[in-house]
Amino acid sequence: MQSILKSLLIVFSSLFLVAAAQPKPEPAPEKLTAEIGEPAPAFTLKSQNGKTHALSDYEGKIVILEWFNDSCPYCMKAWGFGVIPKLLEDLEDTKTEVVYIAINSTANRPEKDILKSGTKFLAEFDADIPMLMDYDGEVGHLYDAKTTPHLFVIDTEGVLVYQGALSDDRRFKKRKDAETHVLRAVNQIIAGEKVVPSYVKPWGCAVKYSSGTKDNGINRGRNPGPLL
Amino acid sequence: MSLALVSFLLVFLTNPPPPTQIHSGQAIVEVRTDIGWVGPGQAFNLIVLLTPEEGWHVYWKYSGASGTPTEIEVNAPEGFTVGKPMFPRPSLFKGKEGTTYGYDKQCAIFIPVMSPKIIQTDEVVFEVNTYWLACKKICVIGEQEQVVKIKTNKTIQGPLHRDMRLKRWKNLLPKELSELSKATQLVSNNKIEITGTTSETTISFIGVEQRGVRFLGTNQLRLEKDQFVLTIPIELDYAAASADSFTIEGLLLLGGNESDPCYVVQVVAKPDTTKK
Repeated sequence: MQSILKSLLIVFSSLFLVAAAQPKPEPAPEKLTAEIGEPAPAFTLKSQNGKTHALSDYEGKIVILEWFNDSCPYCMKAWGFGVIPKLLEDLEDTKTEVVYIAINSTANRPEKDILKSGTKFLAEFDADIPMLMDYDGEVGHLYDAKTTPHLFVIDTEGVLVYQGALSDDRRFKKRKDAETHVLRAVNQIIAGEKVVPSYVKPWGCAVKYSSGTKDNGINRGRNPGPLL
Repeated sequence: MSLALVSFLLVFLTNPPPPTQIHSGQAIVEVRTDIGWVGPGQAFNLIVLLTPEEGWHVYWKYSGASGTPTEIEVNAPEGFTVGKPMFPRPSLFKGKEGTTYGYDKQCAIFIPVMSPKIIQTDEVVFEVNTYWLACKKICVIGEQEQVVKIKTNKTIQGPLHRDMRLKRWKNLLPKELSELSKATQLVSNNKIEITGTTSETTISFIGVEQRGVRFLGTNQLRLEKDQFVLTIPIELDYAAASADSFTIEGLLLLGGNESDPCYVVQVVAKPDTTKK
């Protein structure tokens, strides 16, 4: 009898140990990237003045995020040809509370240089907007920002309603007269309409997160098995 | 002393200063044709040779995750019709922001042209404007305007240039999908399915995004012997494009080298064919 109990104890102990060794099922991961129609991912970053800005600070307001790099020729033209300065004026004319934020995820130079040149650039345009520093690219990846400029529009409910190109005028033929998707989206929000299109392929320089590599298409497809 | 000063001023004033170096956009553009002269009703090509500087790359007609497409505009003489530029197979550049498509060495972009049936001038002039974005650690916009003059003949069509490079460049252009053995293309249920026969095992696809058309997720490749089925997930938004149908475009890439063949995929999607 004692030996039976001993055996049972060993069996149960073993089962307990095996069960304990099993990896616990992980909770379903939160959606980590920005998706149209979903709440815009939260972030907290410091601006060029050292002030901390959280997305939640702007609850109830329309928020526009511009991925920005002062050394990208597209940003230079978008600002220099007056497209964004005009957009900022037009946004003011909507008489709605709209917050325009530049996010700088550039990391191809020392951070202090990027902070300095970006600050100088915006000051030259008298742009009274925060430039949030995202040197490690965490927020850029969270939003899947691909180009500079790459624009995101968040509605008053905190939902991402537009992401993509600044306008369709990527060669700046119309300069500041180009209609921007940002103003169109903001006007659609104000009018209570659905923001359509909610995505237009962005153009511009690649966000300079870090250097990339080249290949020629190898391993792009997967082979799940033979033909059915 | 004063004579020396006068001489210096004379030399300085009569010789203009050297021209300011215009930023090249980190690439060189050369435009040529593939014919000796042009005759009536003749099909020929303008060829734009775009050569990025060492370490830089320029983009394909669709740049991919970031960047900006290379664009070419042609102002042709009256009566000449100009087709869409044909870009050679691009390389894939993988960066943190995603995959982009382009060229880090010379690419020859062919622009098909058709001359009118009656030619009245001795020479025709084409204005070719090329726009590109060149990137390395930073990006630079390039723009160049070139003029190409071609002699004409009112009765006889011109000969093709005997230049081996022309053949090589042409071989790098995408082929029609119908040239691939047993090739089919089908769009249904938000996916494109391409089938065909090849000995290559590296098979991939580059989709050209347009308003309302997005390529999402991972392509699925099934291989059996020399047959393949490549399934490409797509997302269509007719409202976003204000369109009743889409002509979805892409490039089927066989093999992993720039010189390996590639095929143009063009398939029309309509709401009825994509809903189940």
